[in-house]
Formats: sequence, structure tokens, C-alpha cells
Amino acid sequence: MKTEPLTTTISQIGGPSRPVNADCPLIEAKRVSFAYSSLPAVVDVSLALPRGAMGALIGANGSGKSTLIRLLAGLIKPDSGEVIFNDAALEDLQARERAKRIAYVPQSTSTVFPFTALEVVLTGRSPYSGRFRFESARDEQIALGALDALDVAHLAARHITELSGGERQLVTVARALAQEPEVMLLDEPASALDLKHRTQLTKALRRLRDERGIAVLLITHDLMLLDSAVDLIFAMRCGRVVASGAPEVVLNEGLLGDIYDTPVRTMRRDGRTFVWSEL
Amino acid sequence: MHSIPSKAQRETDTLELNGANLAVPAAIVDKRRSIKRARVAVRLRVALPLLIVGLIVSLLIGLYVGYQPLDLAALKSDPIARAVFFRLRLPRVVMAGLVGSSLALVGAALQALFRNPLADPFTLGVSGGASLGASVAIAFGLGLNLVGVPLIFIAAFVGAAMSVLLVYRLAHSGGSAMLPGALLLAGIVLNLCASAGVLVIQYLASYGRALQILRWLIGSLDVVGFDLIWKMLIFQIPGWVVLIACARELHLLATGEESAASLGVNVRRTERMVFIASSLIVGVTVSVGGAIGFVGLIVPHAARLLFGQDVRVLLPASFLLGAAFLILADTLARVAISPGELPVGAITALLGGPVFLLLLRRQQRYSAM
Repeated sequence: MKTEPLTTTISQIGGPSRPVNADCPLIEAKRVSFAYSSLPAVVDVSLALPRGAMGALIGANGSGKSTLIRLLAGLIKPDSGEVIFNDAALEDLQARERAKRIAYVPQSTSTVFPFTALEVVLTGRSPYSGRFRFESARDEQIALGALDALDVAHLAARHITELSGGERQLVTVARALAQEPEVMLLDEPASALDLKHRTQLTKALRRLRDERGIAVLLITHDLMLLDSAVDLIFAMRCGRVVASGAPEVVLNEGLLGDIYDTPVRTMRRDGRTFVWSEL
Repeated sequence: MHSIPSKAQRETDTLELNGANLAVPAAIVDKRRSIKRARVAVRLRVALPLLIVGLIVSLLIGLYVGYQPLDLAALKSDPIARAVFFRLRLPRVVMAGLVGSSLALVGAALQALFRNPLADPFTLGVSGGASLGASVAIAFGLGLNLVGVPLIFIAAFVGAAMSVLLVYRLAHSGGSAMLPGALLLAGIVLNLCASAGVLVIQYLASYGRALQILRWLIGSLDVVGFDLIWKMLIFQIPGWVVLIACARELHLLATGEESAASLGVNVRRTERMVFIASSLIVGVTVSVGGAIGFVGLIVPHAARLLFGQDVRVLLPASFLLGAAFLILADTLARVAISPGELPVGAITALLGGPVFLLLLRRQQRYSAM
């Protein structure tokens, strides 16, 4: 990864577009750093995601987005700094308790066994069941409801190995929803989705935010839907969050060009920001 | 949600989710019929009695069939017939059951842990490692007992544990993602190295010891009395308990390592527990029965076909089915070329080889090796 300093210094700009209570962040990184055996991946990052807000994490490949989201999910521990969840150190939260409140959707799921989609979603209920206590009828209903919330209830009895990449992705998000979390952290959930499914997923996540107050932080390379979908954007470059704020502020040519290290053009139309890059 | 009440809607259930009422469409209600079967507790309640009955039947078959069929009248009157039954046939059938259940249980656990349907103590080189460990022990004349427990057991356990660790390291060296092909290749390499090691040891060892190693490698379910069985159980039972206790974690791991970790599974701890328990079981099982291949592969897959993918069902089901399977396979081995005897490993390999190839073909369709 490149580690040369930013040519232009970008400070925190703008505020959230939606009235979100920034005073009480649900999940917060405080000067967090993490290195994979001396290769720094996340450097001195601070960010806060308010309760019930939907945030997006953008940045070039290898800019540390996945590592940051794994740090927030508690899957890896920061080398320095700390992650705060609900005003307490995430590290102090028991793994099972954490799983009831923070859901994480990995970038890819590697299942070779033909579990049914329902079985996969039911694993999201495991933090609520015991070692020798299996899922109850209620767990099953919640799992079915989660599939339904993502419009994939018809897949319940299908084998996960037979599903298309996009369908599998939606089932994995349904599993996260079955955890009944307060925040969902998604690593490129839309990467395998076609336009229809991408819209379906974005709508579902917004509905969850609005109806159940679930906070969402997702990694995406798709800058097109962002400003109508999310409240906050965090932009990363070389392991640092170099800008954060409302979409209309972050989605500007200078900043994006800098983050992706390539000329970027933007255009406003119908209240939306369109982003593309010149060949 | 629906404006006109219809039959479909009357069939519609409502459920509460986070306090909000969500209507469940009739289509899902229809699905529930098949889902009813999916509930784990229900499946366990069906699977376990069925398997126990199956095991009892195969036990009876194993006890009845033999060089001479069981004669109950002679058993009562003739002390020799009684001795033959209680000192030879009964221990042998019990031994076959214990070896079969142990190998099948470890196979099911390793498949879930490595997320690889082709994993088993044999294909991963764990049996090979156990053989090497035991050969070293025999060559150095350590065929002694330590507080009543054969040192060979401990040497085989160490060998098995070392090969599990090595195969894990090799398969993990490419990063966090473990390719199924890499895992099997690591297992093959390990098996080759272990058998080369055994050959070298055999070559260097004295004639008597070399013969001892050879006989040990072939292995046999033939035991006299229950002495060895008790000693074997000292190692196996703790292993079984640990593996069954890890069923929940293994089920979550089978659906993906990252998501299991995010669901609260301590992945490294589970791996360690399963490694130690598997090595313990495989070490002692291979020490006594020899390297009987493919039981750990076929049996869990048969259990999957019968009872589905849930690892929490699969582990106890494989355990019971493995016992029944090896008892029947051993019975076949005893009577197939009567009065002679086939090695039971030959029978399991003849059955297991084709199953392995079939699974390999199927897996190649899912993921590039």
C-alpha cells in the first residue's frame, strides 16, 4: 500500500444530511490503528456512526475499508486506539452479546455444503440459543421474516450452493438481520448484485433504518446511488479517513479524484449526484 | 398490506419482529411444511432413535454371523463356546463399533472445521501422522505400558496432532482463505512423507521390530478380551465429548469462518479443541485398528443424505452410523472368504474410493479446485 502523505489536506467537512443525533454515536472508532504484520492497513482513524444512521465507506482498493469495518465489528482488535459501542469499549463486550447487537456481513461467503437458505439465516439466531438448545419456532419465524424483509422469502428452502451470487448475498444480509442487531456492518454487500437486486438491497436497508432504527455502515464502490441512499459518507485513502460528511459534500470532483487517484467528474441533476471517470 | 381478504390471506400468519407486525405471505406458509422438517430438534428426535435401532440390528448381525453362526444353546452349556463368544466375537464387534464411530465422528467434525467435504482423518494425513508416531515408538522399543496405557497410544497421538497442525499451517499459508485443493494436497504430501518415514524406520529397525511395525500398520479389529478396549476408551471418550460439545461452533463454522466469528464463535479456540480431540481419537483408534480409510468420509456423507446438513445433527448421527457401518463391514470381512478373512480396511477402501471420486466431481462443480 502507498503511504505517501496526502497532497491536499482535507478536514472534516459538512454535516449529515438527515437529522441524526451526532451527540450520541452508536459505534465509534477513536484513533484506531491496525497493521497486518507491520504493513499498516488502518492508521489513526476516528469516526462515529450515529444511532439509526446509514453510512457508506468509500475508497480505493486496499485503502483499509475492509480492515476498518472488521475492527468495528470486533473481529480484529486494534493495535492502538479503541472502538466504542454504546459508550463502552467494544473489547469488553462478550462475543455472544456482541453478536446480538452488531451484525457483520463478509465480502464473500464460502460455503461448500448445501445448507438451505433458511438454515443459513437461522445461524443468525445462534447468539440467542444455547449450546444444547436449538432454535425455537420463534427463531424460525424471525428468520423467515428476515428473508421476507429482503424480498427473498421464496428462497427459504433452496440450497445456498445453487443460488446465484446475488441471491446468496441477499440471504447473507438476511442472516445479519436475523441477529436483530442495532448496527449492521456490510463489506461490499452489493458487489455481486445486478441493478435490480442492488436497488432491492438499498431499499431494504433504508427501510430497516427507518422502521427499526438499525444503523448501517456499508462499503461500496458504487457511487451512483449513494447520495439518495445514505446519510453519511466516510472516504478513506491509504488507511486514513480523509473526509466525512453528507454525500453532497463528499461527492465532489477534487476529493474523489484524490481518493481514487484518477480524474473524476461529477454532475448534479434531479437532486442527485452522478459520478463517472474520464477515460 | 392486502386490501381484499382472501383465502390466501386467511392462511396468512402474522409474526412479530422487533415489535412490528409483519404479514407472512401464503407462499411462505406453504414453504413451512417443508421447513417443519428442517427444525433441528425435530430432526434429531427422528434421527437418533432410528440410528440406535440400526446400530442394535447391526450389533446383532455382527454377533450372530461368523465362522460358526451363534448357537444360543451351546452358549449356555459349552464353556468353550462361551469363551469364544465373550472373549473373541463380542470384543471384536464392540471394537469395530468403537473404531467406526470414532473415525466417522472425527471425519464429520473435520469436514465442518475445514469446510471441506473431502476431509477425513485419512485424506488429511492425520492417520499417516499417527502411524509414523507409533512406528517411531515401536522402533525404539517403546512398546511398553505407562501406568497401564500403551506408550504407542501416546506416540500415535503426538504424531496425529503434529500432522493436523502441519496440514492446517500449510493450507492456511496462502492467507486467511483456505482453498479446498490446497488442503487435500497438503494432506497427500503429509501422507507421503509419513509413509516414507515409516519405510525408513522399518528399514533401519531390527528384523523383529520391523515385523512388529508391519503388523501394527495393517492393524486389526481382532482383540482378545476387553482389556485393550477399556484403555482405548480412556482416550476416546474425552475426545467424543469435546467434539459433540463443539457441535454448535462447528455448525456455524461450516457456514463460513468470518460469519461464525461475527456470530460470537471463538474460532481459534474451537480449532484448537477440535484438533486436540481429533488427534486423541485418531491416534488411539489407528493404534488399535490400523489405518482404516474412508470411514470418516463415507459415513458423514451418508448421514447428510439421510438427515441434512446441520452439523449438530450430523455429529451424533455420524457417530452412531459409523459404528453400525464398520460392524457390518467387519462382519462382511470375516465371512466373505470364510474360513479366511479379508482386512476390513480393504472393504472400506473399496466402498470409499468411488464415493470419494463422486464427491470430488460434485465439489469441482461448486468451486474451482
